[in-house]
Amino acid sequence: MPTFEALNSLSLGLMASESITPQPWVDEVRRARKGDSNAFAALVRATQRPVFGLCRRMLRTEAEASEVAQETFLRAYQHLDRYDDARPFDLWVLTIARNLCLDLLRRRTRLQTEDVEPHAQTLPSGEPTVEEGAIMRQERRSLEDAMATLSVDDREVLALYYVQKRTTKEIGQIMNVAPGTIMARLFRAREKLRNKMKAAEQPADGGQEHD
Amino acid sequence: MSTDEWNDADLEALLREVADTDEGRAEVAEEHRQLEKDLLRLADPLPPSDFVHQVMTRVATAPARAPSRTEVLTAATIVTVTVGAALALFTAGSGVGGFGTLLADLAITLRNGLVAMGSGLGALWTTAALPLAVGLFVSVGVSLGALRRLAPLAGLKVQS
Repeated sequence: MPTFEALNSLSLGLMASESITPQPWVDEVRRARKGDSNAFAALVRATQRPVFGLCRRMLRTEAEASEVAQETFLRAYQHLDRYDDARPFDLWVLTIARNLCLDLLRRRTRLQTEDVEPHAQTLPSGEPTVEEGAIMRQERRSLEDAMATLSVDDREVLALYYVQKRTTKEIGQIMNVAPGTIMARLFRAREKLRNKMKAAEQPADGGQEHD
Repeated sequence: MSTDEWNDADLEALLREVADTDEGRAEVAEEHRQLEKDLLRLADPLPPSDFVHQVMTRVATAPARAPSRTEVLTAATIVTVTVGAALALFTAGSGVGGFGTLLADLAITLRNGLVAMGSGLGALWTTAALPLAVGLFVSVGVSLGALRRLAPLAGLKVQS
């Protein structure tokens, strides 16, 4: 069937490898528990980008993302004794970050103070390559803009899977859902994104999706 | 997700939600594939340059973690039980004097028990020294082996 021939080349199951990776943070965690602030700073340095990135995509404003990311690390430090060494440290911190983001979004919804268009500034590029031309940058900007109009659930699953290259098992741990549901969520998020991109290509109206 | 968990049937079901024909589904699948390629090029934004410094400042100035409700409840239970037991001991019988007699009784019983156990072991040793030695050796060996196997897990904490 042509549909599945095309789909076979999709990166469904892209991050299929679920092998146990070595956990380089074990020693730092152990030293941080004993009060070594340099060890904790090393842990922050190692995980700050995915944590800040997730907060940025979920909250959409840099100031709030920075605040919540800092709070995340503070909570991690204060509850380091509760961290299970057998679990990857970055996943644990990402789970804290996600919960804090969701708390803030819930408070925002309750207060109805959310700015409908807070994502005016496009996310800065990661590591721009030399060969990356203006067209590619424009395409990426359009993609980021379209992604920013999705719901927070869609944004986070896309960010974790495609941007942070997490496996569905890891995403399942962070979002506290069965890994089996992640691929379906990804498909639906992609489909919404595809429709947004199409709508943006045509000079037509485009309603925004609220969290 | 491993590919065996995510199969063609799941995918087909999802594609049927968005397109009615095979051609339509193929087109959607192709567009998804292209979208995935674009999404994979995205990267996380960099945090502010002084981010680590800000975190460490907050860590240094943050007050010590307040004990959790579970910890407070556990401590309260231990204190209550200990104080209750102490009070019960002092009030039962005839106050402090009764408590002293109780302790003395306990010590004597314990001593008698130890003496009886010692004489029992002595009798056993005189009648069956070899089986006893072998039994002791085996049980100590098994215990040490088990401890050695458990040792690498000692560093791992159970998640609270």
